[in-house]
Amino acid sequence: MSKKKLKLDLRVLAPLSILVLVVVLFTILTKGALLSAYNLQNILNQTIPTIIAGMGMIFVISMGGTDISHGSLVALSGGLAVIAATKLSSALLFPVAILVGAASGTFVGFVNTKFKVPSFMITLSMNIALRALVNVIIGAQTFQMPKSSRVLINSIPFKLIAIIVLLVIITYIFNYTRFGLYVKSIGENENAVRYAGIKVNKVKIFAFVISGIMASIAGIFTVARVGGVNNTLASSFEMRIMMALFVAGVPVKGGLESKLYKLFIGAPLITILESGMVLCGVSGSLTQAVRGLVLICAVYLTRYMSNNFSEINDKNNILDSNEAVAE
Amino acid sequence: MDNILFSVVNISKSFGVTKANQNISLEIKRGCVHGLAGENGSGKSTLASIICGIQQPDSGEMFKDGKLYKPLTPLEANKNKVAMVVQELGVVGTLSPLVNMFLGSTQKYAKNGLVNLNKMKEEARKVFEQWGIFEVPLDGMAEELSIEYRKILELARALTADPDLIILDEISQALSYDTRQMLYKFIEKFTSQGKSVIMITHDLEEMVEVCDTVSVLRDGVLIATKDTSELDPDKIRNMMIGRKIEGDYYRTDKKENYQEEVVIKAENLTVPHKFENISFELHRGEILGVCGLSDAGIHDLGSAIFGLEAQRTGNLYHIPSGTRLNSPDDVIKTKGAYLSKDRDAHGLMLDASIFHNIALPNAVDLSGRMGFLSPSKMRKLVNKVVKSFEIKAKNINQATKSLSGGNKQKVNLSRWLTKDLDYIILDCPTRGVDVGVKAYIYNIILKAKQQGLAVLLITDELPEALGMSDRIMVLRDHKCITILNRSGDFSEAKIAEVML
Repeated sequence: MSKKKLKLDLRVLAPLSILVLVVVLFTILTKGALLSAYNLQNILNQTIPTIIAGMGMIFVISMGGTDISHGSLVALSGGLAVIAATKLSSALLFPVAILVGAASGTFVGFVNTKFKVPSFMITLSMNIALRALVNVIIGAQTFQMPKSSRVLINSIPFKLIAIIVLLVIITYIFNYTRFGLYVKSIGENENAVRYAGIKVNKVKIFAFVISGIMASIAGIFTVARVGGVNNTLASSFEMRIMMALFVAGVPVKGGLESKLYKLFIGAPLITILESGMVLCGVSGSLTQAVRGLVLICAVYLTRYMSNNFSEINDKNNILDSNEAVAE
Repeated sequence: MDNILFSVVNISKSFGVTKANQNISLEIKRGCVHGLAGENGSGKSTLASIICGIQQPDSGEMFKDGKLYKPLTPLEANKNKVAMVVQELGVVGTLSPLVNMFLGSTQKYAKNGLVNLNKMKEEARKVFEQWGIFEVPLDGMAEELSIEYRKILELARALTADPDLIILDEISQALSYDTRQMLYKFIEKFTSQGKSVIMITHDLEEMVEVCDTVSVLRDGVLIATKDTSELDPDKIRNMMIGRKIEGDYYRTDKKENYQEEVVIKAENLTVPHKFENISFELHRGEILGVCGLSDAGIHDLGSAIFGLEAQRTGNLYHIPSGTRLNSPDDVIKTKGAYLSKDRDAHGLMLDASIFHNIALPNAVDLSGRMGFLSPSKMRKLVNKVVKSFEIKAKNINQATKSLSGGNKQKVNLSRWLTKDLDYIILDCPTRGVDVGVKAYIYNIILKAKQQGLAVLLITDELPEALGMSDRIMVLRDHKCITILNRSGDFSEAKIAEVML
């Protein structure tokens, strides 16, 4: 039992220690500027959309799928929501975005389950196609979000309340419902779930819908932060979300090891890393390279730790079962 | 020439504190089938893997043809004419069966960096022909082959090394009745040439029938080596377990015994190319056995009833609720369950814990409003299941893959039987488990039957069907030939007669 505890701790410890290391390193390098009130707010602003979208994407990742449609989806749903808000009513911001996200998720899930197209392929196509749609609708213009809603959504209390509400809902769905169990089980062995008589396709479509909805909500926060929508908004946003998940040890093949708390290590980690390097005056392209490097290191470290320690655990278990048989 | 082909002298092997093999010494005679018996975890597979070079012993020596034999890899063993068919499926799914067959020796057919597939195919056909085993489809992908074909493919692969000693680890469990007969014929032919076979099997009737000599292992220690003329299954069983098992593990009554009420009614079930016009009624408290040759379609019948065959036609009803069963969901909703033959691929999530595996099919019943699943309720259920089905594990968080075969199957079966079931379709429920667990599984099936569970028992093992069923449905050439009653002509000979 104590070994099990130890193993779990190490799996959390690996990404957590990287986070601490990055914070300490850049606090020293920036002579404390990293932790200034202004910068912390900045970090929070940038982390929140990643966390929100990550809370949706984890459903798809945990069943062994990928959803890389997010960047374009954020631009499209954000764009349509802002247009609806300016033309009709600000109250339509979230409903319109959620509707667009749900529609996109349903489509992805439907094609994925009915025509057996791998989720990577569909969402790649979606990413390209939705971006084209954004270009058609928005073109070279920039749509401004109405000032009143921008101020409201950008306020720290609103953000914190939103994130707490979403976190409660998502934690409930992911950890405390049978749907959550099914999603993760699909990542472990899809056939086992199908042979247990569970409607796998329904579960999958629903997972993509949640992913789409959360991406769109994240989109509103992104738009509120930058002020408006243009046709390049949130490009490669999806990579950022995936990085936040993988860097903190969510398994690429999904399964029951996909844990929500990891997102809360991964998302701040990449934002702080970027912010720290900007403050240090590192060039943009170099920042990208370092991001990539950190991802590799983190994934390797988590794998190394979990492999080594789970092996010890498994060996012990085998011995135990042998002993049990021998009794 | 010396009569001893192969000898093992004082082999020991430990994994941590577990002594898998302790000072084992064996002699394998030429032209002899040597059986290795023992419960799961008794060390037979370890010994076999040492002989064929997968693992190295901690101490002890082996001799082949009187010369010291010390293989470091299976390929080296092959060079010394020792080959093995492993228990767990060992084919590379994404390669063609042909390439699988020559895996590790494709170099022989290479010219200028290109492999001559035609020559390979010729060579493969020669092997099939030489040993009188049926030809496995060689093109396509190995993962598309049925378990049976894959096993035969592995046998053929072992034979490409032209061995004089071949180890068959649990090969017959995956085979149907007629393929087993073919295997026995092959063994006869093989040994008649002065070559030897080491056979590991849980089926003790088979062991006594096929082997000339049997060695029994228990807890890594060699208990005895005896000629089969001095042995019968009960004696072997007692040696394996070290105590007497009272009575037989099959049921003892000689008459069918079930209630009037029909639970499942099938009318003209058909899946193209798999089976045609199957009709039957399954009654409350009945065990209906299903037997047939490998291609008769018995396993497809199971998955079709569960609703996994999209092209199924005909009618299938759950009579008590008047529901038409079209999908797995319908089966679950009418308190039905299905256990696939392929436990590891279709049943369990091997990397996941016992907890999650047991929770999965029970989540529907446990969850409350809005799908809420209470962790404490789940834990309570899982603990109850682990306790009442005597699953031997460290704790419920243990990874399922680290359990022994018997305990894996207990997890697989118990998670369904703990539900309030009306009927269950069992496809080879005792495949790959040792006698102890086998007896245990029969026992719980019979108990469930007494409580009114209707069981459709699909099986490749005739003794199992005969020992457990009230009636047996026999399939031949995709059709239902007859349904036999327990009180009528219920013998292996009769079934074999209608099956073939």
